[in-house]
Amino acid sequence: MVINRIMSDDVPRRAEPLWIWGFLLLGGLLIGLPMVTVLWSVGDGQGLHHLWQTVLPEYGRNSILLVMMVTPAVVLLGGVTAWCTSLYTFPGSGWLAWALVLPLALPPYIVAYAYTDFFQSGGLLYQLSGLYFDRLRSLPGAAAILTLVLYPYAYLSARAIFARQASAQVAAARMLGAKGLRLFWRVGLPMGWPALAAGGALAAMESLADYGTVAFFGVPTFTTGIYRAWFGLGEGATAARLSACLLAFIALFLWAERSARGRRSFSEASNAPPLKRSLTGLVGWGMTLWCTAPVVLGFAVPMLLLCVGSLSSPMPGRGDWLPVVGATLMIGVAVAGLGLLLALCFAAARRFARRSPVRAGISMVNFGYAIPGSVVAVGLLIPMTWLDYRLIDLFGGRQLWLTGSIIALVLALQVRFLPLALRPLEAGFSRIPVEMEAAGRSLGAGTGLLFARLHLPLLAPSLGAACLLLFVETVKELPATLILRPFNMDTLAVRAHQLAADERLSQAALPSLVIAFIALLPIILLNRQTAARPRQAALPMPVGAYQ
Amino acid sequence: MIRLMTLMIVATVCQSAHAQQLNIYSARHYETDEALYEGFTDMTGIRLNRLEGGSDELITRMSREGRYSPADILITVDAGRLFRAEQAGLFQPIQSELLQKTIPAHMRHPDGLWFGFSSRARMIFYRKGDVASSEIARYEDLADPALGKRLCIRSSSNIYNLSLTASMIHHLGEKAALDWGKGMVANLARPPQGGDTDQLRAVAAGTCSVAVANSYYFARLMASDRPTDKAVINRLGWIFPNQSDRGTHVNVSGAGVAAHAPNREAAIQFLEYLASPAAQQYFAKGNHEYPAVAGVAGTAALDRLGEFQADRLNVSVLGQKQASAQRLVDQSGWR
Repeated sequence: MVINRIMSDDVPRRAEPLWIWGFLLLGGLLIGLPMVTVLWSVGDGQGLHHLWQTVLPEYGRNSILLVMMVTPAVVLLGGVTAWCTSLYTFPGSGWLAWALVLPLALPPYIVAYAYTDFFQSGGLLYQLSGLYFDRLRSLPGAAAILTLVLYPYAYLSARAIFARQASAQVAAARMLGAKGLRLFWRVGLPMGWPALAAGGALAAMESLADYGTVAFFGVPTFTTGIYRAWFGLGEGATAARLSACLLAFIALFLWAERSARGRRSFSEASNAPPLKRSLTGLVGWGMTLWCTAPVVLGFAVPMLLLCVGSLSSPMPGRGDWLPVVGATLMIGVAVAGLGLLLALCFAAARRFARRSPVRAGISMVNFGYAIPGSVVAVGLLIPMTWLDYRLIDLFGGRQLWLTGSIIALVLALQVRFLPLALRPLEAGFSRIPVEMEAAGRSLGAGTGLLFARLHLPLLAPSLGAACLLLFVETVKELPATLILRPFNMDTLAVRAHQLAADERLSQAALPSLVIAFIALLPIILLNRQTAARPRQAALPMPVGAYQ
Repeated sequence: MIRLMTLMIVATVCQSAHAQQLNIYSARHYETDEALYEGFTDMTGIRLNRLEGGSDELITRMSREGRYSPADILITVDAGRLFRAEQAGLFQPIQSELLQKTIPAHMRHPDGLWFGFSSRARMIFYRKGDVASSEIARYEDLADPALGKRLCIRSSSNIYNLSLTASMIHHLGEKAALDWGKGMVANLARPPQGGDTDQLRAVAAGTCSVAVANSYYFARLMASDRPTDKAVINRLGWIFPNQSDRGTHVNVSGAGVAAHAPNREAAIQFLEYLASPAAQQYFAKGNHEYPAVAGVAGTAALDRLGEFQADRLNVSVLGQKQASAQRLVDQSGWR
């Protein structure tokens, strides 16, 4: 990858064509619009003063504590499980390497519903044993849930490094007598650090942006504070200022992550996976237990609980779930379709742009992933309504074309999830040698023809991965969908949230289960793709991923 | 993909061009809603479009949409939210003799901006054996040091608690209400967590002895077939507070006609339909609420709870005092 990058810089090219600047502008608009509107909103700031006096310090403290609990736990859990499954064989290690990704299919808020319903007094645990546990609805409880669902980010990125690049170093270290924990500490951690930092940063941002879990647990964080200021106190200005604080915090975090990675990067010197050492007996089974626990707690148990819950609650009648599933799939397809197109354009623009400011500008798209869904939604609602009004001025009528249809929602989800699609495509582009392009050009092909005949076919696996990721995330998304969806269009996530918010947890199990199954299919597909082509990691790291 | 989207947009436009419609923004989502809305369509031929969501999100969205908002009707489940919508200028006054006659005066806006169609009581529940029903008879008793650390109540950020606090401010004055808030915080058995049902379960499980919850959460457990829900019910006794003076605090589920309603006539028709006996059944039954219209029967579970005297304070006051209530709970340390 590194070699390709250097070569592409050395190949002399003409100045950027106009379309690259066009995409840069579009990218800036897309990501910038919600942020700018949020920051633009003005007001007297009375609400901010009240919040600062009363609850804001607590919001800030809770958010920081949440990140501080989730990030190290995710890095540790993801890193160690990746190390174990890449370097050792033990009972069940084959399927565990695959199954450790499964918690990605479950949105954190749904895992929270499932466990709360299980642990609460009167829940399944209580019925079985007379015991209950009502302290799950707390900050540590939220941190535990988020860790269980988010560790696959660190696991995936670390596994990609360990499985592809660590063989020579591991072999050398083993020859020098290092083994066990020492091997992990001296070789695994330094080697996996860039990947682990990227996975950890992703988990940290997901925790900061999380709304569903903390709102359900009643843990007030910055994100729920923004929500409360905007919707509860009706103060856009206060919400805007809080959002600005959050964005500053996220920027700081991204910067910290980049410096934590430093300039480390590992070229693919050896592509052979490391020789696996076989562990048997007690040690082997111990490792099985260690690696099974996250899958069981983060996936199997919640799924089981959801199944039990679905069976014990009355089945919905009149087939009114069909439109809900239909709407979920339709929004998913729309977001994936448009996202794929946009991501392809951005990735191509980045590939063909020579100047680094252009590249950096397009990379800015990545920032969108860190903005909470509700902030994006509100940030888009204002300019979109303005546009709607201009359209009505032009064409008459009183139809709100953008905010009254799924267009506003689809755009908002682009802002959030485009980075997820961009990452595998950029990785895909970087694997296409520039010599091929040069050869094509020398045969007289223009950029368009090259793109259609050379890049597109080679990018097919990356396109598939990008498409599936967009789809899965959209199906799981809650806050933006809640705010922006049009008439007669409930998604499964919205339905589950409504039932849970109305304290009908067991009834929320069924829509939750359907979300899990819909999200599971693409995850399994992606996972198989990764397994089939170890050199083309299909599951990507969206933000600041390893070089 | 693009074809699909085009089709969808065209379909949306065609729909809006044809048959008469009514657009509803609703914070309700209960199983009987289908039957409720179908009843209206069967009666009038008017097709309903629905957008269901949290009251606050719907209010924000309607405000942003402004004069071209497609909403005809806004339904919320709390007087505080009706007030917020009213303050944002989202309702228009309507004159309807039928509504004036059927909906009790304390359950509707004085100028006809909105109407309450069902009500719920904020009740006190206790663990049988732990507490004698004579120990607690009023909301004020929850703050009595004699109760000790035995109270469970959900977070003050919940609107039902804000509305209760607003009514306390109205009846007792700011100073006494603040003392009441502080007294309750001192009596908490655990930091506020979970919803109303969780408080009921906590009392049944023995975490605390007294809890505050809306009537319909208890009624839902009463109507449930699950053995664990029945066990909860068997352990709990209930109190309609303040029967000897002002009456029990009640809140309403209500609706109003949107200020920029494109289908104003149909919207008024819909509100009048909601006050009809058939619709009242669905509206109240969906969530075990008390029908607003006299003479309409409630659910069996509500009958078991028995008759009570409700606070006749016009529910619009709950909204007016909401900001003070918010400040008060923040000051009292009620999280």
